[in-house]
Amino acid sequence: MEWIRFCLTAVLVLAGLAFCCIGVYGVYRFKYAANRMHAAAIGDTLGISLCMLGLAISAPDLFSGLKIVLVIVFWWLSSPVSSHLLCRLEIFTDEQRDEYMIVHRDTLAHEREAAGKAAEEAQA
Amino acid sequence: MTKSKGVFARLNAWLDDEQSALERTMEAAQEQSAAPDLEQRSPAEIRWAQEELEEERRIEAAMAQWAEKKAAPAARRMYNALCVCMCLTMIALLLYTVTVLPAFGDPNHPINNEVSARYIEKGLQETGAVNIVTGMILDYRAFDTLGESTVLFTAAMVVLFLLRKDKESARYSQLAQAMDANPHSDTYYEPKNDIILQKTAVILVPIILILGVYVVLNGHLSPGGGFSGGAIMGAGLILYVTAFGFARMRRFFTYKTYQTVVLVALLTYALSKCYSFYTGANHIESVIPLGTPGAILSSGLILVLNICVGFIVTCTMYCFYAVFRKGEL
Repeated sequence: MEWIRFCLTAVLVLAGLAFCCIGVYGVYRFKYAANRMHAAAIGDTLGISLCMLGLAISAPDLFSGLKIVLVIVFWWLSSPVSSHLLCRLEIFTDEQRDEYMIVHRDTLAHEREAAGKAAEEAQA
Repeated sequence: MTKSKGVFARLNAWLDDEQSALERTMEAAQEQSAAPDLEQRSPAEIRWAQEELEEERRIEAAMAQWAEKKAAPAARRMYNALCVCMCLTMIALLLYTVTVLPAFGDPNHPINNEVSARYIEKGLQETGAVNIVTGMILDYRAFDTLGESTVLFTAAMVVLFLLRKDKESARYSQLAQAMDANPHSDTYYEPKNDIILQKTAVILVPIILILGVYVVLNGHLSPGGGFSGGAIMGAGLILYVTAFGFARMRRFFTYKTYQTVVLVALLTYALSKCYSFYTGANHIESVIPLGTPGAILSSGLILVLNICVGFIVTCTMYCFYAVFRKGEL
């Protein structure tokens, strides 16, 4: 039992580290912010959660294992939201954006409207 | 050309193949002396001088070419090689130092003296805290922790003095004038009222705040305490204000709240420590019971002090964020 646990942990942690490495390589390989975020997200979600899962399996008792699972849940909640915000900012502020991607005009109109509304609210 | 350049600026200029100062002055002197003299001389002399000048120009051009083709790459290579040598020397020195350090857990280690032995043996009995670290920083060394809290408080005060915008600041600061004239110039593009962030924040903020409270209140029982719990709660407040904006934050947290909370917390800390210093110095028995170790209401003043530190750290973290981002709480 102990050996199965150890092997599972080792495989999961090594796989997680491999995904982290792929993510780091992608961050340097790609040139555009959104592509880089896509590469970094691999390390952020899959890499770290595999590592954490490996640690949870090797945890001494059930309770600490569940705590580590909680960390994964927190990570999966926070990382996509932060990249969503980054991407919103990127779409709205990058002047050379059209060279890299096509943004639907409804999105842009929505962005402008939201920003204008917020500015009016803050002014009032 | 400025005269007072740093060593590195000059080194970089040299590496980037700029002429040296000596060469430049020599060249300038030559040009000055060569031109006006030509008229008062005999044709032979003029021809001789012209030949000499041409010769010099040729040599100069050859020198410049040599410098460009050979010397600059050589210098750059030497520079890189020296950099690598220096780094390797430093690494070797540090690694050598690591090998000389005493082994981990060595009983003859210089830090394993009677002080830490006493903390470990008598800590639980004297402070009532299961967590020895908390017992140390909030009981044996509480004066030091008071100083740390005061440093945080002072830093927040100074940041407020420097960056806080009020009605008067437009009279003194051009930055404040610019911000008043154009209030949304630097936050215009920030995502506002983002529905995804708001829904996530609704789930996460209460959990983060409760976790912070747990870490603060269990500081004497488990790893944690005022500083870490306060940092967690401050992060929760920052997430809230990022998602919902300052207008909603001001409904329960204003500058006045900040002032009151931090002042009351610091004063409580100082007064309770005054009491324990007074009783300790005069060998009077403290009336505050230590309780049973392991219970939530135990270890005397440590719980109170943890709560005070937690409040101070929370407020200071949020205050830093708000002041740096917007200029006001």
